[in-house]
Amino acid sequence: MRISDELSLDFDILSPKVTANTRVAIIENVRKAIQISDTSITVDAGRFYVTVRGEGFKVGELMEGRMELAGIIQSIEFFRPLDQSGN
Amino acid sequence: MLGLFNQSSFSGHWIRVEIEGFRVEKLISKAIAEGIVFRHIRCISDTCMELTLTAEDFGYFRRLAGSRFRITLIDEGGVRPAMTSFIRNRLLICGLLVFLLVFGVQSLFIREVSVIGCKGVDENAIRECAREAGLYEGALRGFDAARVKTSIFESFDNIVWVKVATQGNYAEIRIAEAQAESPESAEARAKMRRPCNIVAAQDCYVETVRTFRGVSMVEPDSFVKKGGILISGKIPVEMSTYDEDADKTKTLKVHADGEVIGRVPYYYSFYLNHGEGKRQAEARVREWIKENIPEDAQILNKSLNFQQKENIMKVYGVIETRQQVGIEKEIIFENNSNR
Repeated sequence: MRISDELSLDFDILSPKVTANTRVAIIENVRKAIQISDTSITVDAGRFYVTVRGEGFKVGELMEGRMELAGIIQSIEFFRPLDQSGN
Repeated sequence: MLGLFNQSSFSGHWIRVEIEGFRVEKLISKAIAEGIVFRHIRCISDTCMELTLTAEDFGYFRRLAGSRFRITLIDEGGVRPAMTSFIRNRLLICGLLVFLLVFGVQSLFIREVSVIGCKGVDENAIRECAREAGLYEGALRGFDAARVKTSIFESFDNIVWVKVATQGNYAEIRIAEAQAESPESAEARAKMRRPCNIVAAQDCYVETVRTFRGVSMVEPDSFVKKGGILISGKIPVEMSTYDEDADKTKTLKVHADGEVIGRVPYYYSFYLNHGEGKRQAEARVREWIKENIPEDAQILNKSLNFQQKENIMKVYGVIETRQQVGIEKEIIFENNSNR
């Protein structure tokens, strides 16, 4: 990994940052919660939407753009907003 | 309003609410944009969600929800509600106060007194003495320890050391008794104080004189009869002060002490039975020595002589021994004598 990529990973506040394993996920740079259910959670993280699918979701904490999620995580998806999908 | 409630504390006062309505996520998004912190968000159904937030944020969150969402309080907790419910429980507070009062008051009194070190002295007697001085189970902790010690010393002659100490509600009396004197040693001590002379136990020739206390009255190689004074307990004292009796010599009477070794002759004689010879005579001499001469005496010389008298044999001789010859003899005070 180049240093510029590493720096952009640490200091980018416009894109979502997800740290996850099969039981816990932490999503940073969350601006809005689009959908919250016990099997699917979608959040707006600026340039992208992030959808986490699984079972038995519980949001541990949601503060200052940081969401802690616990449950059985099956998939994590990143979506661009519709108006940008052409680029 | 972002960051308005960042300093809120969940441990201080948290509230768990149930939110019912459409698009609850929109309300949550709006709230997190304002800086409200949520915990333990659980989705019950598409239109119902449970979450936890601080009591300080709850008021603003309700205003954000307006009339579009129904918010139901499920539970609350934290330090502040616990304190409030505790203060409201007057019976509990009264009970706690009574307990603290009893606990505090009972710590002002002595709960246990133990006595350590009693051997000859009765423990109950010590306790009774301490009780009279103000130390007993149930007494106040501020008793006078010095008074207790003085009282014990005055009441018991054979106690030489007393320590009175307290540790919390526990008081301890430690004593040390003087070693009890046996009647024999008491008598020996009394005897040592009585003035006496060392006199000869039997006729002897003095060999050596070692005087520890008193005045030696004999020289080595002198003959002393039985009862003769070897070491005198009367010591003449010259007064060195210039007073009326300066020219008079006074006598100091002491318990004389010393060792006098002398040579003591023992004379024996007996008759042999018919048929007995030299061997039997020597056996009888040995028997006579065992009966008449002290065990610690050292035999220097032994003579054995035979004399035929008519039809009987006489055996006679001298046994010379070296032994301690001095014995103590008390000085009898005369009337009007100088002491």
